[in-house]
Amino acid sequence: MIFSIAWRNIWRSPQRSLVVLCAICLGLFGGVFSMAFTNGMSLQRIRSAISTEVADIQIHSPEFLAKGEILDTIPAPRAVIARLSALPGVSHWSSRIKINAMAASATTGTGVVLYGIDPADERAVSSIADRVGQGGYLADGGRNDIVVGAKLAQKLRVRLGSKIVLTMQAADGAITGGAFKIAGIYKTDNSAFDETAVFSVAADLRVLTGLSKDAVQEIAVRTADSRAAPAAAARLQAMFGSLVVESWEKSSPELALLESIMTYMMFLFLVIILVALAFGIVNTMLMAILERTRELGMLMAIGMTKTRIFAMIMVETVLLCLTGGAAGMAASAAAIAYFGNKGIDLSSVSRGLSALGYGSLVYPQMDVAFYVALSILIMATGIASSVYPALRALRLQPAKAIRTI
Amino acid sequence: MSIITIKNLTKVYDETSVPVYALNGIDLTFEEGEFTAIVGPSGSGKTTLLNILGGLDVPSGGAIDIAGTNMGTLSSRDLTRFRLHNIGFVFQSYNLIPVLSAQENIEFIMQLQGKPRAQRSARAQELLAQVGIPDRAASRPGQLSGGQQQRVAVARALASRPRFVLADEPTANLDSKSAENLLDIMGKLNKDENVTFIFSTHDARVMHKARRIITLEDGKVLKDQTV
Ligand SMILES: Nc1ncnc2c1ncn2[C@@H]1O[C@H](COP(=O)(O)OP(=O)(O)O)[C@@H](O)[C@H]1O
Ligand SMILES: [Mg+2]
Repeated sequence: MIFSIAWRNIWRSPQRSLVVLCAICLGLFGGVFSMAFTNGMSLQRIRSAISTEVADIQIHSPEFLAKGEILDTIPAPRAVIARLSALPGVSHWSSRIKINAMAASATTGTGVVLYGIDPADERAVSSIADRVGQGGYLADGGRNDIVVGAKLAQKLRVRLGSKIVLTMQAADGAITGGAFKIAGIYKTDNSAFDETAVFSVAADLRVLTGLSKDAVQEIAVRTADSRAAPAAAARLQAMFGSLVVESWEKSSPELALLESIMTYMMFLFLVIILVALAFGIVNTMLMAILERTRELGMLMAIGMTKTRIFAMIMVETVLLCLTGGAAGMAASAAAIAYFGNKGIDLSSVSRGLSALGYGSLVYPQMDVAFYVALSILIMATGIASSVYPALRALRLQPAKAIRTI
Repeated sequence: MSIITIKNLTKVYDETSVPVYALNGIDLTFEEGEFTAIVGPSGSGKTTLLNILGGLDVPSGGAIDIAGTNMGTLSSRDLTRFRLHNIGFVFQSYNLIPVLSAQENIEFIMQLQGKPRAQRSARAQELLAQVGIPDRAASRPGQLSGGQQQRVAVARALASRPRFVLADEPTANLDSKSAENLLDIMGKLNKDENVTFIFSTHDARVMHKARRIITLEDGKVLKDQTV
């Protein structure tokens, strides 16, 4: 009966309760929706980075990571691929030549990271091919085709079909170079990446640099589930002790950090909202108790123990919080479902976002586990906010409380 | 054997700047089955006496023994339990929980006592019939007249099967017809069910219904007459 009394008590001053309920509902909506927004943004950033830049797992020789030179190749790459392809969870892989080069157009020059790839393998690992807006992706070798980022094209002041000269170190240590024709221009969410990464057919680079057949500096691996990448990377590392196997969290620690910092910040934000709400709840409950002084005195007089009085006020406060909380969570879940599907268009500010590697359509996203955690947090807020009003109620003395006018 | 014995009871309210001597040495005994009015002018100490009899307030001096229990020895928690099981209360107003129906208000006290649901419901209906409003079981206090509310309060006070019922000016807020009705119901319960009632009043139309009238003045017993 304590539950039904507590619940009905909430609706004794419907106006006052509704004000608190609205505050809780709106506060939570704001907190949860912005969390989902940032969460969606960082997840998208991570997904996009994995599909265009870092893949799930990268394999290098330790020397390549230290010096990054052309001869720091992976020993026996065929054997490595043979074994990693047998690993469950590994879906695709691509062997890449990866060397630093200077790119020069008729007017200007800049440093780039030049990839030599097998187009068919690379398409399975990276979505750059889908990001080519002008021209097309690489096909067969023999034509010295190259695909560059839009930002680089802009910087070098070149267009589709333009020629650029790439200069790099050859396998024998000499400097070599060649003219490449821009066959495609791609654009990812990360303009910093677009400015440096250029792709050519591996066979063409082998001719130019004298790198032997199969010699590669990088093997990029995709797993069925990016969250499983660290575990798969650890197993690969155990197989190839002389190589360095890194999951995306290791090779791009800023991505992992982004995720954890964002989650942490938003959680803090939510806690602040809840603390602010708690003050409103305490105030409401104090008013309710003041109004009910005589009634509480009567309840104590007829034999309700302090423990039960305390419980009744606590239940009332927690129910108030949970009602507002449920409304707030339902509203945010609905909004997240809607915008999570439709996306929120930020193209008006997308230039700035792109410099940071973010897409211009954000899909807010939130795990079910979060709602569970939030419900517990709301309940805790209710319990915490009930303590002071309940203690105030316990200070009442029945004989005096009943005489109160 | 008497159910209540009070000896040399005094009560001083000393939280005020000038201490108020509300009760000044009261000796009384109450027997089972009494129907007693405590009368006296306003400020004579009726409420104070009833509060102390009911364990809602502690005396400044003297002793109270209720059914063999020395009230001075009980902790606040035990006192609450003692009230729940031994004493029924009817106040002047605000007797009922506004969010509960009449039936629920009566059942509530039995639930505090831990009585099973079926028993609670049957007893509540029986009591509502005894106080003459069996058809108002589902009404909330706000939907009942003052007289009906006080009848529910009497039913609630009896629900716990207390040793006695204390009623502080139960008719003060009622018109004279309702007041007389309430007293008649209490008198009938006293006669038929042997419920002990001790009630205060300063209403002459009500006090003559009592079989014993204790008159207080300035915190002392002025008269104690059995009619
Ligand atoms: N809490 C209190 N503090 C100080 N004086 C009080 C308090 N309660 C009652 N009194 C005083 O005690 C006296 C007796 O009051 P009360 O028992 O209410 O009398 P009655 O019920 O007969 O009107 C009165 O003078 C009243 O003013
Ligand atoms: Mg009084």
